[in-house]
Amino acid sequence: MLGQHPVHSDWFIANGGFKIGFGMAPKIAQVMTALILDGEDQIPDDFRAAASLRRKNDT
Amino acid sequence: MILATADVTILGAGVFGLSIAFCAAQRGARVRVIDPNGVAQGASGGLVGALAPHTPDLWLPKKQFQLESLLLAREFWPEVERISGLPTGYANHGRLQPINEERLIALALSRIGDAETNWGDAAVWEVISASKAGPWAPPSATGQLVRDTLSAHIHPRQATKALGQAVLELGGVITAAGARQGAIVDARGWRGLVELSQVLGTEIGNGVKGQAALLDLARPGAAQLFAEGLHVVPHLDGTVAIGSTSERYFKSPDQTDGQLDDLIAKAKRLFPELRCAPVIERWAGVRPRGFYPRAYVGPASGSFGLVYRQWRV
Repeated sequence: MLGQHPVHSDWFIANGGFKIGFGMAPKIAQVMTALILDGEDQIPDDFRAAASLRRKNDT
Repeated sequence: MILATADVTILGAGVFGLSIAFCAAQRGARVRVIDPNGVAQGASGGLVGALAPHTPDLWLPKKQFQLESLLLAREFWPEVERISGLPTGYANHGRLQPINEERLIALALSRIGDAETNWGDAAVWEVISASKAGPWAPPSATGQLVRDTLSAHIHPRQATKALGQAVLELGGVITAAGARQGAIVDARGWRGLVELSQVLGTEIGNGVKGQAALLDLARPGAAQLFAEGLHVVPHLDGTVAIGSTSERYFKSPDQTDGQLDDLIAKAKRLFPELRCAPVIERWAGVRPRGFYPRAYVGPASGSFGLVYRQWRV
């Protein structure tokens, strides 16, 4: 679960990772750093928490 | 030293929080990591550390992301070791899995080409004869094993502590409490997921307890083993980890119980090389499991609702 935070819209989130967290950590660190420091969003849609929750609230 | 200001404040000193802190600090950002419990005190303080890939067939963006991460790991963890001066236990030694049913041999063989297509030159997936794989290889009912060279392993607790030290070496601050300044990253693991779910009124994730054991058995350099849901990881420090249980419902987050005894007995049955090794540590912790939003929004009881299904994100 990466990217925009589902509760605090000006925060970021990096959570989840059940069973695969250590394998994912290097790439997660890379894309989160790009997002935070450069505003460059490389996060796959599957990993977003915030986008899906926004969609729910819209309907 | 007290930093006047931070560019990035990270909540949580587990592997996610500290990996982000490490990368941001390498880029020159002033980072502050806040965790009331300290470094590696949650699930990241575990013992097992199987860095195992998704299967190479049915390629998806999540599999590509994981592949890129497993390849980045080959440089990431040695860099953490160099900067921290501490071991992470990272080793790129592959994995062996028994093929215990004849019908699964064809499936395993079909994935050789999938790996060539999707993993490229980075790693291989192959089917080998157990009789040629040495005494460490697990018994196989068909006599065949899958061997892959993308799987690696790490010592989670050592690696997380090394990350913490690397962040300090790069000028970062790790503290039990402090001001939230700059960009804020929430990486608080399962308790964070539970808290956010309560605030949102929608479960976005939860915690799954795991129990694992460490054996006094020196097989450094050997491949990790996987059979019937059980990981066997031969660490570089002369121990072998086995795990894990997956318990959605639990009373105590950090106590081991009879389920671990059962797991140890199962491991010794499946892997004869483990039979005489004494248990030197028993561990329990709760891993954060985020829910993956399903792509469709469909009618449920006459209204539109987002359907979550569990997936390992």
